Amino acid sequence: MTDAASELTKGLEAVALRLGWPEPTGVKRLSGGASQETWSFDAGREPCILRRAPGGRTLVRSTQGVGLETEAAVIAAARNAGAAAPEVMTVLRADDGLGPGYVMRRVEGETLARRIQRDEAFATARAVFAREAGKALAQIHATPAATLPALPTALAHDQLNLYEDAYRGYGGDRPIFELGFQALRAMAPRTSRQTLVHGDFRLGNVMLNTEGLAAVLDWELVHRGDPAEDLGWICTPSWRFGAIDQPVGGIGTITDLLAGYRAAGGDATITEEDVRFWAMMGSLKWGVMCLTMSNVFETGQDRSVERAAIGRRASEAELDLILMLQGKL
Amino acid sequence: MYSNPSTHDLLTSVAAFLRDTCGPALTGRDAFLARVAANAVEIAAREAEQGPAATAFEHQALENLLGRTGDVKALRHALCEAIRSGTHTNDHPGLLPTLEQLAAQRVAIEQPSYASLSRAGG
Repeated sequence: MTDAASELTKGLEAVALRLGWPEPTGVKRLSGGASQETWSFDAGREPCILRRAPGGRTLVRSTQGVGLETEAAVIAAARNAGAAAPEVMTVLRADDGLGPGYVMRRVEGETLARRIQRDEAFATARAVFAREAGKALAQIHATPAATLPALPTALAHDQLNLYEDAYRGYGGDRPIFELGFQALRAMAPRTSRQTLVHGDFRLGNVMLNTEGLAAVLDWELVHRGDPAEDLGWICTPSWRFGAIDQPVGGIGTITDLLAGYRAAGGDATITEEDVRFWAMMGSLKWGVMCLTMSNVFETGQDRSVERAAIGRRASEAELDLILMLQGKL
Repeated sequence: MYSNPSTHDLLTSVAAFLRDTCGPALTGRDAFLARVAANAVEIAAREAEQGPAATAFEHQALENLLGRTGDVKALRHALCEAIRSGTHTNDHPGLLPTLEQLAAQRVAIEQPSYASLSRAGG
């Protein structure tokens, strides 16, 4: 067992003692998640996942994450309202010694985009994916505001301001991003729609089993906003994982996504144009996030090769944006 | 100055070591990071080979778009300012196709397998 794993096991033993759970076994770090740590373990026969801040520290976040306690409260509220959210088993306390985080019941399934897109085992799940993604989002968006903790509101213009400020702070020397900000300001839907928005609904953050969508994960970017944002983000070219001809996660069509959304009670005023607007917003946001990764690396906050490499992905967002601006994608 | 093998070949051999030897010898997150590291070194290898020509091309393209000379960094800023102030709009002759070409050139160095490259013109 690594040092990190044995330290974590100690903390989990304290949690188990507090809650009267059996002793945790099979503690292991799961890969993925550049901003949060995810660990798998079993408490007796209960399969569990621990999600916590990296190294147990509270970091100043590069984007507008809400914090793990709020995240846990939102997941619980969404699940209560019928959404495909995981079951939160407990929220960590300061005296657990693990930092901020929470434990949820482990759901079996696949999150790796390439396997979901290619493995024969997921053929059935792929056929229904776009509709089920629409349904899952309609359920999340229906979570009653009164059951949710206080959340930041970020409509299209708020996000354009936020990301443009960040971009300018990093030097503001990318002509394509300039065009992107300008075009998107002009295109932004005029709407009063406002619901709970997941904020990171894409392949990698949804879990599929062989039948279809099993759970929606990674809620750290939840906010209040235009529900069309979630429908667009999964269509952002970077989240098509190579299969660019299929807008919805490289698997399905926007027509099916919207049909599933409306059939499950989602807002019928959302159009394909709105989805395309938010997909393009997605490329611009992703591009600025890559610049943030670059900045985190260059300023010495994190000198890992992982941060450095993501920094070099800003160019993929530039390419996608300039293609979308010309109707080529 | 003699520099054989070339920077490109030197880095390519390091990338191969990371990918083919280190990766399989490691487990979990470290195996993943070995692949990330191999990718990063491959970017540096392509940059060593294609970077100078790409930058020269960008320099010329920016001079053409702005109708003046200057160093690449200053021209990049000037083009950003021209777009921001509305001097250069989407219908400025050559603006969108040129920016598309420049972006495609960067992606060819940084991520040559990126699918959207197939939609970009030469």
